[in-house]
Amino acid sequence: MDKEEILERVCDVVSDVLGVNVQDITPESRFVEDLGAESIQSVELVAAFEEEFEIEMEEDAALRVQTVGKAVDFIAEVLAEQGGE
Amino acid sequence: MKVVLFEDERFHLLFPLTYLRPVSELRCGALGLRQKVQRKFPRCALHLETREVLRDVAAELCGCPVNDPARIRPDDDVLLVNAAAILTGPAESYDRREQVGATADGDFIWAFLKAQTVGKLGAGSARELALLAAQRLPAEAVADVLIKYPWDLIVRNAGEIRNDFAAAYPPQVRGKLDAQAAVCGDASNLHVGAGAEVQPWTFIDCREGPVIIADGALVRAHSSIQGPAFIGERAQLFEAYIREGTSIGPVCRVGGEIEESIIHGHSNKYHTGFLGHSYVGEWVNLGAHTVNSDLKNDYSTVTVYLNGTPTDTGSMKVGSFIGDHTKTSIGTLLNTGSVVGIMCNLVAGASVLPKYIPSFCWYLDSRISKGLGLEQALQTARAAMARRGAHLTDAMVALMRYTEELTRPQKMEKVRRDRRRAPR
Repeated sequence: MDKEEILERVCDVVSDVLGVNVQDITPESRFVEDLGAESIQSVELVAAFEEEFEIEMEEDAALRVQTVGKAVDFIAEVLAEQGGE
Repeated sequence: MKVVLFEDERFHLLFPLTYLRPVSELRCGALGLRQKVQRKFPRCALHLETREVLRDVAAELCGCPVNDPARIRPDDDVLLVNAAAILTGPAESYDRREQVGATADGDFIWAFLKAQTVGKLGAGSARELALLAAQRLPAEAVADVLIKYPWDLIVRNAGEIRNDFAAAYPPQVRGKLDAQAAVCGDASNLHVGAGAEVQPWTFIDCREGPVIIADGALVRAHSSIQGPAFIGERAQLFEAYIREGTSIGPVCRVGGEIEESIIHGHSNKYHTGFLGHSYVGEWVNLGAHTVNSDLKNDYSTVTVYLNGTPTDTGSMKVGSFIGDHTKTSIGTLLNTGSVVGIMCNLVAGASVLPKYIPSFCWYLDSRISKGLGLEQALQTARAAMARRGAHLTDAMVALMRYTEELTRPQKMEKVRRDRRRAPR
């Protein structure tokens, strides 16, 4: 899966979990400051990414990711390691 | 004679309450299990043998040698006591002759051994010494108590408040008992410690058992306490309805209705909501209107998940067992006989929560989730403790890291199962 496809699916998940319009989400968007994610939504996002991509992410590492673009990089790395969808 | 407390191999049956503390530190009545033994043998050196991973935390909690080689050195007679024991006899009844005291089922409670026998047996640990003593010495079924399961602490609590009152809390009023506080029953059943304050329009009922309000505790107006009950040092009650058989540990802040329960210490249940037949760990916060069931509508016996395995308690009245540092949101509904691990965060859904939630989980959107990770959990624990002037020690952090690893398989199994059950 290339990063463009990962980005598209990440944006769909973020839109769904945080209730933000997809067109307002960019790779530079920060989950907390720009998209309004609080701790509960952060947990929901990790779960949603794991289900979307059929991967398992280490919580502390996942929660250090601050932007959508970094999330794409992180998920791409995990996909490469775990061979998810 | 030295007294050696040791954990036997069943400490895990008392999880989640014993993840972060030795069995000896569990509270039953007004005092912890170790404190009761210390009070019974005040002139004896006390040693503790616990899981090696708990050594440093145990030393911080107990202030006595922990896992020290001297515990089994044959330099003195030894009273070997199971850390889960409550000794009910007079002190002089334990060192009359070499023997083993056991339950009617043959479970080891204590043994008295002469130094020479300790040397002969040559055990490498107190646990091994107990096994050898059970094989070599005459055994007798004794009236002493062995706590095997978390609910045993609840069953014994009312009686232990009575016993601890007789042993350690003389009937007296040293603090301020307001003239407009109503005390019903015999004043010889009341202890108000130094610096404690009982405000007007409170109701203290000592008719059925003693009420202990320990040093520095505050009972605010409109609170009601039915004995036997224990309100620990610097605990605060806010319009609380404390029913019989309840122990509130030190520095707790408590409101609402509580019946036959133990709150270990430093925990908050500030608002309205029922807690019954439950043991709540340390640094727990129960949000407003957190309610637990302790009785099923069909009056059948309650099953509790011990380490994830369903176990029939044989009892109709069993509440919740909640591990240290766990938080519940407003409106959380806990099912009969629930077990919640340490450092969980429960966010109420539309119905009662699952009966077993492993440690370090979040319950969110009616599913068990992975949570924010260990580092964030530690940060939250530090923040909660700082609010009460306490701090998370390096030893406790190390133990929490160990416990997170230990419990991760249970957590991930539940997370995966809930995702299959209710996909996003």
